[in-house]
Order: sequence, then structure tokens, then C-alpha cells
Amino acid sequence: MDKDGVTVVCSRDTWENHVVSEHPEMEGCEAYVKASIEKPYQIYQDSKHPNQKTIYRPFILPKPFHTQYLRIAVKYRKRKFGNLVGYISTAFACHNKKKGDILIWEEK
Amino acid sequence: MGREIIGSDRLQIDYGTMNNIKSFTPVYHKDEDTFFLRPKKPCPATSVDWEGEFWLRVDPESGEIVGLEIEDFETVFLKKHPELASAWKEAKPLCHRKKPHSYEETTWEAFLRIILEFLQTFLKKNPQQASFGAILAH
Repeated sequence: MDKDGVTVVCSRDTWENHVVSEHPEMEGCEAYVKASIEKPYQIYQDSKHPNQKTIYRPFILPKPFHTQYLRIAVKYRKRKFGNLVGYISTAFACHNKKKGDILIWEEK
Repeated sequence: MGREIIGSDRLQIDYGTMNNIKSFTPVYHKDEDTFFLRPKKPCPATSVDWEGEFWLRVDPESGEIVGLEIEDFETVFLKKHPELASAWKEAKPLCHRKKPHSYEETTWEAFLRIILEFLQTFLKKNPQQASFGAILAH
């Protein structure tokens, strides 16, 4: 669950065939992704997709990425019965944050 | 922009390795609308945002450029850079083939040259990220 109590999921297909296959630094990092969603450092509104938010958490990935941010993009959609669900669309290590996105929440 | 707690001096990008791109493989993920240029076997890397346009994938230890990732490729990026759209139209079908036919290799190589030229021009026009350590091309 994210910090607002919304369930966030990642399909096996997205994790294996997009996240890990194109970002091998993410192999075995499922627990870090989960921890970052539950306890983010910053949350940004994606500037191009109103239903997408980006979560950043620094210093959580193992070496040699320990000094980088973990970036997770989550698309939120309403399900049939009206409940909101977040779908992870990507996750990778990054050195800086994407320009243009809007900061909407920050850890105090 | 929120607080930055990761120092910009911690990563040195070796721009001399930009030409690696010529030997990279283009891959397009339709569901995520994301375009990648990377070695046949992708390398672990950290991504560096360039003006919200693309991510350069960099080996955090050597500074070598090991890939390029462009999000919202068809829906946003190509609309902003229509000069690349026609080249992409011809190269796109080749992205899904394991081995292109020999007569298609010229299209492939041409596309990579066009992308490389675009990147080099873009980086020259947008040098604001000089705050990153840079190992300049020899």
C-alpha cells in the first residue's frame, strides 16, 4: 500500500519484461520497491499523465547504487467497483529527478 | 523542485563513450511507450535525466554511457522532435526482429546515426548539467 492506503501492484510481466530486463540493477530489488512505496521520500505528479505519480527514495538500493535514488512510476486507475489501484509502470536507479514533474509531497 | 540530497559531484559521466550508441540495439516497449538504446545484454546503470527529455544510462563506477531511455516516446517525445519521427517510422519494424536482414542494416545504422547526432546536438544546446562531473571526449 502507498502512503495514502492505496494498493499498489506490479504485474509479473511488467517486472520481468520491462523493469528487470531493461534495468538489470533492479534484479532482486522487489523489497526495496515495496519499502519505498510504503515510505517514500518524495512524491511527484507526472507532468504529462494526470493519473501517474513518481516516487523517489534515496540510499535504499544496494552497492554500487547506494548513493542513487530509486525511482518508481505508478499509474492509478479506478477498478470496476470504484476502488483505486496503483500499477507500477517502471522502476530504476537514477541520479537526479525528472525535470518538469511537480513535487506534491515530501518527507518531513 | 524538492530537496536534493544526492550530490551532483558523485557521478562522472564519460562523454567520450557517447559513440557507444552506434553499436547499441534499439528496443521499443509498446505497452510502456518507452524506447531504449542499449547493448544486446543491458547493463546495470544509474539513469541521469536530461531536461525531462530522456535518461542517459551511466555505469556509476566507470562513468561509461551504457544506454539511453526515452519515456512517452511516441506520444510526447516524437511530437516534440518531429525530425526524428520519419526515421523512426522506418526503423520501428526492425526493433522487434532478432536479426535484421542485411538490406535492412543500412536503415538501422542510419537510424542510430540520426539518434546520435540528435543527442550530441541536444547535449551541446543544453549544457546546464555541466554540474555533473564530466570526463570529456579525447
